[in-house]
Formats: sequence, structure tokens, C-alpha cells
Amino acid sequence: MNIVIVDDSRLARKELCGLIAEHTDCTITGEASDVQSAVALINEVQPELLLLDINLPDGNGFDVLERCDHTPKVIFTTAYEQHALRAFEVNALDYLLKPVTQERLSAALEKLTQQIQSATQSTPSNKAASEHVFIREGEQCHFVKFRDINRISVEGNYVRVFFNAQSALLPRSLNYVESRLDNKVFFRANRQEMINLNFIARIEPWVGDGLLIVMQDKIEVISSRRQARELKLRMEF
Amino acid sequence: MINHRPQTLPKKSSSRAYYWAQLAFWGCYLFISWIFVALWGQMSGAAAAIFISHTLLLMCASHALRQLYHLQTGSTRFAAMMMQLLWVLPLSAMAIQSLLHLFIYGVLVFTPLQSGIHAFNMGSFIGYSINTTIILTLWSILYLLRSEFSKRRDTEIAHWRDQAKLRDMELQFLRSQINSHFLFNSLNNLRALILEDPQAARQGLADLATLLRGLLQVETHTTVTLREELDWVRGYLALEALQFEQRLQYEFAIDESLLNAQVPPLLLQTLVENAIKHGIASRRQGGLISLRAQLLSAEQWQLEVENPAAELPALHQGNGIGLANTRARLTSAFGTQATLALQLGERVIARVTIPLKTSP
Repeated sequence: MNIVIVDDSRLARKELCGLIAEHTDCTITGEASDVQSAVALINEVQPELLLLDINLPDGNGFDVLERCDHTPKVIFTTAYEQHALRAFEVNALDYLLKPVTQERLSAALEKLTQQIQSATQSTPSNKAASEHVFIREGEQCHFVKFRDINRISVEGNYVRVFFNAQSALLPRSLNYVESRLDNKVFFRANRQEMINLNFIARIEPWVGDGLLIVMQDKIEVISSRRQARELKLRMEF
Repeated sequence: MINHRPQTLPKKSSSRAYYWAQLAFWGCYLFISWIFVALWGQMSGAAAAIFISHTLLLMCASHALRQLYHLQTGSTRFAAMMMQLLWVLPLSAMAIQSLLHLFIYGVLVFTPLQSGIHAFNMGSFIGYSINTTIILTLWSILYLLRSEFSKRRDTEIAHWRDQAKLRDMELQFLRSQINSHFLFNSLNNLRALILEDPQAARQGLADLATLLRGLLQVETHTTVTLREELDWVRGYLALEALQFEQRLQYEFAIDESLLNAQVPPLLLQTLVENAIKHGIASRRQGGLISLRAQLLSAEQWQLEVENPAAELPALHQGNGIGLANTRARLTSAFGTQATLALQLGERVIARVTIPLKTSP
């Protein structure tokens, strides 16, 4: 597993490196000490796991997650249990209290390995199934798995992501989101919306060679003629 | 510092209870007297009027007595109050009886003579007065017992409330003294340092011990010498330097003659911690913290802690609790003679002026 460590204290990073060195299946691909360099590093090396400190000189750990293009698995490291961590739904994340004991680190890494394995087993063809995106809206933070997203629609300059009967605003453009999602699963139905093909309930013909797509949550999405042709091509497989 | 006197009673509810009790007591009194008179077969319209007016007079008198008791609470001793009651109660009883007899006289003038009601008779006047004194005494005993009881209960409640507040303040204070982040980060850094530079790690542990000892002094001392305080601050800065390394630079400019001057324990440390939080931790390139102690006059000296302003002010804004806390501690040690001012700008300066009070 490729790991990036983000912590503003050199000694704290060194401490984590020392602990991780005992795990032969893990390699540290980079270290960063502030938000700006962390985002650049993560985009460059695309690690599988991020060990992330909450307090950073130019922001906090959430800022890192929000700004990087690639969201790895995350284990937060913090010196003291913080209110900030309560922003997550229960069990949505793992965190380690510093000083970190080898036992706690091993347990967290073990849990993570199992998660990745079970995710790849359920959809063996697609490693990306375990991929997720970090969304912070107000007080609430979510790690949303790509496979749980059923629909994404434009809202102002940003997009609203619908998942597990909830939704949250993501400060990115729909074009950006489209470029990151797997185009075998996600389909750009029109200029405003993207849908997850796995969440379609039924499809009906619509005026002007378009298609009316009814999602499992009864939401109706209308696909333009050009996109409808694209969808038909895909559905033939 | 903590006031254990009961706060003024919750007036509204207690006075409502008083009026109901008053009605019940005198209602009972009227009812019982009525029964007695009825048993003796002397019931008549005039007698009823007399009893009702008697009861009303007693009610007024007892209310007046209450005002008297209220005035005396806390200021008069129990025995002195009893002495007063010895003449106040009979006197009010006689006043009531005089008024009542005046009323009876009025009734007799305007209504035909009725059997069983005498115009005036010294013997019955004295008898009725004694009777009234007894009933007023009874009332007073009940009232005083009740008010004593509720006073004690209020004192107890106030006491517990104060205790809770005190404990809360202490806790908040201790919590604000040593930032838990600092403590755990230091332990974590020391853990790494043990492998990297065992000698430095040993020094770091000693610094941490010194600082924790300082923390314990906060509870027992209102002031310590500047010399002691500077020891703690140097230890604190050395530990923070493990966290921030080259990002944290600091310099001291201390007037040697002030080393025995008195400061509240960990006051300077609090200011330095604040300076690090805003001037170092929130800046990627860190900065320089300057500590200065200088004599201002024969009676006053000042402490200054200077740090660069935060890179992202909105992100690292404190809530001012630390500052308020520090001010409170200065006041408790030196009264109004000590001040704390914060000068904002490119470089932020916290300036404390303290009256010169050297340790013997």
C-alpha cells in the first residue's frame, strides 16, 4: 500500500514512518507539512492511503481532502480528540491518537486492507468500486463511495451529489466530475445531470428521439437525442 | 471570593405562597372561632361581623409583623428579637382589641341592643388581648420557623451552586492552562526524538516535568517570581521547538533586576502559547517571538510578548477566553494596578504592566 503522511511536525512524521516501516506491505511515497504541498503531492503520487493530521499551518486536514483531485483512503492522526471529527457519520472514518501505538496502527491498516479486498471481491472487474470522494457541507462531512452515487446535478457553479437518500454540494464543475467518474457506470444524460446506470429503474421513449429515464428513487431524467443515442449504444452490450 | 450569602429569594413565587398560607391560616382561625361561638349558641349577625373584622385586623397585623421580621432578618440576633416580640406582640394585640372595641361600640350605637355583647369591660378587654397575643405568637412562631427553614434551604442551594461554579471555573482554568494538543504533541515528538537524539529527548522530558510542576503551582500560588516563570517558559518553548523546529524562533530581553518580581504563575506562558498559536502555528514559514521584561518606573514594570500576525486571520481566530482569563488572574493578584493590552498589526504585541512587588 502506498502511503502519504501529512503532518506539520517533522518528528511526528518520522514517528509514523518508523511505525509503518514494520509493515512490509506498506511504502511511504511522500510526506507533506502543509495543505498546499499536501494537495500537490497527493495529486502527483496518487497514494492509496493518507495519514492526515487535522491541524496544519495553512488550514486543516479537511481542506486537503476537499482540494485534491484524488481522494485516497484516509486515517486521521490527531494529538487530541477533536470536535472536528464528530462531523463524520459514525464509523465513517478511522483516526489515530498521537502518540500512535503499533497495535492501533496495525488494527487500522488491517481494517482498511479488508475493506479494499471486500470491495474488489464484490465487483472484481472494477477496482474503482472502492473509490470515494470527500464532501464537506456545512457541519457535515461525508466520504461518498462512487458506487453509492445515484445522480449528480448542476447547482449554480457547483454540483449536487445524490447518494444513499441524502445529497451534498460539491464545489466542482460537472465537467470535472465527469472526467473523474468511470464512464462505464456514470452517464451524462444531459447538460445538467449525470446518472449512475446501476440506479436506473426503467427507460421510456420521449419526444424528439429523446429518452425519459426513471431512476429507482422515482426521479425522472430526460436525455437529449444525442445523448440518448449514446445510451442506446451502451445498453446494447 | 465566593459569596455564600443566599441570593435574594425568588420573590414572586415565595410571596404568592405566603398569601395563600395567610389566607389558609386566618381562614382556619375564623372557622374555628365560629364553631366555638356556634356551640355556645351566641351566633348572630353582629357577632359574625365582629369575628370577621377581628380576623381581618389580625391578618393586617400579621402582615405588618412580617414586614418587621423581614427588616430584622440578618441584622438582629435571635435573643434580641425575642425581647422585642415580648412587647411588640402584646402591644399589637391591644391595638387590635382597641380597634375592635371601637368597632363594637359603633355597632352598638347603630343597632338595637343585643344580648351577649357588652359595650366595654376592662376585664374582657384584657382577656381578649391575651387571646389575641397568643394567636399572634402562634402565627409568628409558624412564620419564623418557615422562613428560617426556607432561608437555610436557599443558603444550601446557593452554596452548592457556588461550589459547582467554582469547580467549573477551576476546570476551565486548568484546561486553558496547558493545551491538550501541546501536551500530546510534545509526548509524540519526544517519542520520535528518543530514537533520533536520546540526549535531546532526555532534556525534553525534563522540560516537560518542569512545566507540569509549574502547572501544579497555579493552584497553590497567586504569584511566583519572574525567574521561576521564565524557567517554565524556556521549557515550554524548547518543547514547542520540537513541534515547529526552524519555524519557531525566539529571543529574550529581560532586565536582570526584575528576576525577583512577582507574576501570576504561567501568565507569561499563556501569552507565549497565544503568540505561538497565532504567530507560528498558523504561518507556514513560522516567525520570531520576542519576550521582553523592563522596568517602567520605581513602582511599575512591563512584560511584552511580540509575535507576527497570523497568515490566515479568519482561520485561527481565538474566542478571547484566554485573554479574559489572563486579565482575571492579573486582577486577582494585583487588583486594578495591573493591565493587559493587545496591540494588533503586522506584529502583535501583548503588553502587561504590573506593579513592582519583589519577593522578600
